[in-house]
Amino acid sequence: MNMELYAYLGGALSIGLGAIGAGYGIGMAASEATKAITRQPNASGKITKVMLVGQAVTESPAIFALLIALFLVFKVYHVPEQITLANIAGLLAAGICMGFGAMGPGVGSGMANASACTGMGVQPENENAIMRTMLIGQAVSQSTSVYALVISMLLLFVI
Amino acid sequence: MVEITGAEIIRAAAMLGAGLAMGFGAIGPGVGEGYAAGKACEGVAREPENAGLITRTMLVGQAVSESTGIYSLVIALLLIFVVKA
Repeated sequence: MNMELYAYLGGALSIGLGAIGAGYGIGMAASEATKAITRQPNASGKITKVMLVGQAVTESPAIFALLIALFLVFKVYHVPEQITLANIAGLLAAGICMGFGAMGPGVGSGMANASACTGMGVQPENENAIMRTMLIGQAVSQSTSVYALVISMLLLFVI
Repeated sequence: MVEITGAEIIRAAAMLGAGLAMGFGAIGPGVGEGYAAGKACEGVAREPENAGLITRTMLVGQAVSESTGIYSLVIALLLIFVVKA
């Protein structure tokens, strides 16, 4: 059994799949922000602020996936003495777990961000209430990506 | 070199299963909770005076939606720590 093969495969799956959700979510937010600015050009600064804050939060599952991918790629330089089949399977499983785990929260946070931008286009003066609701919703939506991160870390370092 | 026994294969399958369980299990709640959050944002934008009520409803709905993610987490932890081949 070749440990390097599974470490590299896991790393590729992690960031490759993990980037899909966040990319799609961020794009949705940008499209809604563009529509909102078209409707309310005077509030473009406020709308851009809500969009950028939301996008920064939406990005975080992809950053978790990048972290796991980096761990996996650099894992091959620290091969332990005793290596079992379970360790090797754990490398692949960590990549799959974080890759798919980052997809859903990325899309979900992006949806919240997109709707917040839509709301800003309707009533830009409610910026604070919209931003607060968006951030609370995104924080809850991201919890599953944190679970996936925890399970990936366990698969990488504990077993 | 890795020695492959039946017990080792079961243990390795449990690790793969844990990764699959948590990975796929995180997709649904992530999207669903984000959808709820988005609709709450639209509602708050339209009627900011009801922000407290809307946020409460959003959080209750998200907590229920979260439950399947927590099932996945529990199963993944069981597969990692309880399966002893």
